[in-house]
Amino acid sequence: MNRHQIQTFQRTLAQLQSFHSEFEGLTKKAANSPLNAFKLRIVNQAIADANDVLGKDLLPIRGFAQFDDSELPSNSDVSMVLAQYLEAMEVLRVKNIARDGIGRWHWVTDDGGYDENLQTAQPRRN
Amino acid sequence: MIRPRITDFHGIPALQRDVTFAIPFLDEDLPLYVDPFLLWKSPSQQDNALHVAIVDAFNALGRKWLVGSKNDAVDELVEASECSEIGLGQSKSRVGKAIGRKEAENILKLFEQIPQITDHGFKRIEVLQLLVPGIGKDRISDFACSFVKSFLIDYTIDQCIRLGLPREEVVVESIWNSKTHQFDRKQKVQLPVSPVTNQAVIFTPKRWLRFIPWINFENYFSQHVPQDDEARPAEKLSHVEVLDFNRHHYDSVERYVERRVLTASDCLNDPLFAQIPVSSAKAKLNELKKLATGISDKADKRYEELIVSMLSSFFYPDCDFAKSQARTDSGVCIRDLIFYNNRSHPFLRDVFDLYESRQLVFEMKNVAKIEREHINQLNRYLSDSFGRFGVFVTRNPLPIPMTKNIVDLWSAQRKAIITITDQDIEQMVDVFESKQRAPLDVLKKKYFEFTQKLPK
Repeated sequence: MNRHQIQTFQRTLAQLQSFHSEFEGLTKKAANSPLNAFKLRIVNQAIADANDVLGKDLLPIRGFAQFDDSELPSNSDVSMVLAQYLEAMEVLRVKNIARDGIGRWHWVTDDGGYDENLQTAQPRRN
Repeated sequence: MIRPRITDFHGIPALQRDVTFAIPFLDEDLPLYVDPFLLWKSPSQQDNALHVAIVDAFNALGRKWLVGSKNDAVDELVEASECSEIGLGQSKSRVGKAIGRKEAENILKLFEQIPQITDHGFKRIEVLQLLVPGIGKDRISDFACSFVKSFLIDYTIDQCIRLGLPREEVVVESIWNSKTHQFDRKQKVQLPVSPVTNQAVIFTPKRWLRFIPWINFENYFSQHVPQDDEARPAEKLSHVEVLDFNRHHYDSVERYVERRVLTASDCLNDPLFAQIPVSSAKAKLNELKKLATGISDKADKRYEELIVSMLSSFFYPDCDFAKSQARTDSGVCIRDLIFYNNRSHPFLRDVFDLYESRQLVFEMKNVAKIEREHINQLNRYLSDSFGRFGVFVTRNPLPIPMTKNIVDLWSAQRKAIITITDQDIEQMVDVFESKQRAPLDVLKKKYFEFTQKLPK
């Protein structure tokens, strides 16, 4: 991944995480309640961004690219799909990070190097 | 069509919510009345002026009576007492009856009997209900409409031009002329015409309509007539007695009117359709969930009542509710819910374009399992204005062979039958409460699911 791709990844991940925690809350309140058209549009936009970041090989759910408005997806549907996307994003991150000599985790860029500004958290699991 | 309205007849998809007049049915009256009090109360100077015109026209007939042109006055009052072009009231055929000459005389005699009226005339025509037997809310509405018919004709023409409703040259029996204070007979005007009665149709603004006029006898009798008089404890007052008293004590009527005027801010026009509140929808859903299938304990009747009240509210305002009706097919009584397809929603436009449905039919079945014969019954009914789109409202999802059956029906005849179950009704209640979606979207979802099953 180049620096631009890493930045896009970070932005998309933050958006997915924020949506996921939002929808987890909504699912606890009303799991089967359908999303309104506005929420669905912005969730779909975030998923489209995630699809671009992940590329064809890492898409988490086979045959799924977007929610269809006609199917009236519910809060729990969205929460479940976002959880899958977060996992896929983690897989991609783990592929592209490495630990330096003193135990800090960094993004590995295409040129094989890493710098102070590209630190990241350790993998959630190995 | 079932309960056709003039706009639907001409294929004009007007929603009742979006137009300013009450869309008339072709074959029956709307059960609402023009309340002159609403015209008086209206912030519009035009409505206030029309109220003055109504009262003035009525008083002009009274003056005629007083100066001796009694026959003329009676003729004109009889003419004013029925306004069938308007189509308001309880008539099932849009044809009402004028009052008799005797009744007209009884009304006009008030100008002699009551000194205040002899001197100053009426201030409101609604008080006739409190003074003359046989004069009710329908007559007040007809008098009001007759005296402002000229305005209503202009209003109707304007609305027709806006909507693109066709008009024809027709003869209107009588139009009040406020210059000569008499009706001009047999006037030719360009108005929409009912294809059922071939009579002119005149629209009335929704803002003038109420189920009961603000000043009415029931309210006067129940809340303003002292009935606990110790002098006559056991005696029950009759309608005629009260009217008789009022004619001799007109000041008591005036006091009642004053009190009604003080509470005028509470007087609002009645909506043509009122949605049930969310709490009621939830209570109905709970009852629905507990309701047994089948016909024991009249469960089928109760099921139909619950569904009618819920769906008519859920689909408002996207779909105007037409009627719930019973019909018989092969000796079996079938209950349907019919909506007008106003094409106000992209999904409804699709249903119109693909299946030519000018009305939507929902067949209610309180059965545990839909069977082949049920599908055949609905299939036979899908023709004419219903086009090729029908909905089952039932308790459980279709069994697999029946799903195959409706898919085959689509393959062979391009007819779409979709099913709404208790679960879908629950989701509709959910969105009805959360307002995040329209309950119509649930119907659209069911159609989408149906299309997923069709052969590619």
